[in-house]
Amino acid sequence: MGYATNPQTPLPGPQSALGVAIRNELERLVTIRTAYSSERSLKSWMRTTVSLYTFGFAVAKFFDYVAQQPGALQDSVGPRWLGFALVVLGIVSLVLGLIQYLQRLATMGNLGLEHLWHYMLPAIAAAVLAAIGIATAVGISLN
Amino acid sequence: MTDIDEPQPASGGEAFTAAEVANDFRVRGALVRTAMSSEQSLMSWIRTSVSLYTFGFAITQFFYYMAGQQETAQLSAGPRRLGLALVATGVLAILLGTIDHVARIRALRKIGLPANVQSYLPFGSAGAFLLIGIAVLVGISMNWHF
Repeated sequence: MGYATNPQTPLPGPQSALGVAIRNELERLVTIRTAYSSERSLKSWMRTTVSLYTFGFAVAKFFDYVAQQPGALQDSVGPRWLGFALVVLGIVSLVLGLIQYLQRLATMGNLGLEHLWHYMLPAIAAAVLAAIGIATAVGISLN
Repeated sequence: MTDIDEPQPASGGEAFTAAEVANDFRVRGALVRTAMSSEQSLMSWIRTSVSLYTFGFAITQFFYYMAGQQETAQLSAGPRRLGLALVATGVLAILLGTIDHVARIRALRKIGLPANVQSYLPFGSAGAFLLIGIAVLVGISMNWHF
């Protein structure tokens, strides 16, 4: 038990071997938490991107549909351009977020983060989402 | 990194064990914070998957609706494939994210995360959400109209 349950108990000094081991363990856990936090940032970018895709796709397709109605005004290209721009903005922000994530991961690797491949899942998912976005953008531009 | 599994020859003459390190209240707090951080990561996967499901499902249903409005329009396969790809990405993401979380909690338990720190709640909701995604996927691929 000791100082685990009673913080009043004197801590092992920084010079002792136990104190050094504790400090190393704390530093290791801090890097792991920072890597998890970085993962959440990338996933947050993915959500932002999905919102942009949704809105862009909906704008482009809804106005396509309205223009096809009988008695509709002349077909306008504005909504399709807006939709295309929104999807492209989503792709660009996702790619930049992915690059930033990989850079942060490399930095944390230099700081002693181990098993960097354990943090690749969000990066792969982001790459898949970017590919889907590119397909969407191509689909909108080809109508 | 110091290997803390083995008792170290102490610089000041005293030896220590891995349990002693894990018992330090700062290390214990750090372990619990790391476990909670992993939970927040899993919940973040859930939110990401929600976005993917919503978009995928909305695209397919929107096109069913449009096809119903115009009798002459031929239903294009593109939006349906896009919707399927999105929902499938969401299902895979939540599945792999959940596996990742379980592996992380296990690794933390090995280095001394206290057993009374439970992490089943996000795990359970992620599992339920995975089932919902599989149902949506089956629904889209079987052409069910909602």
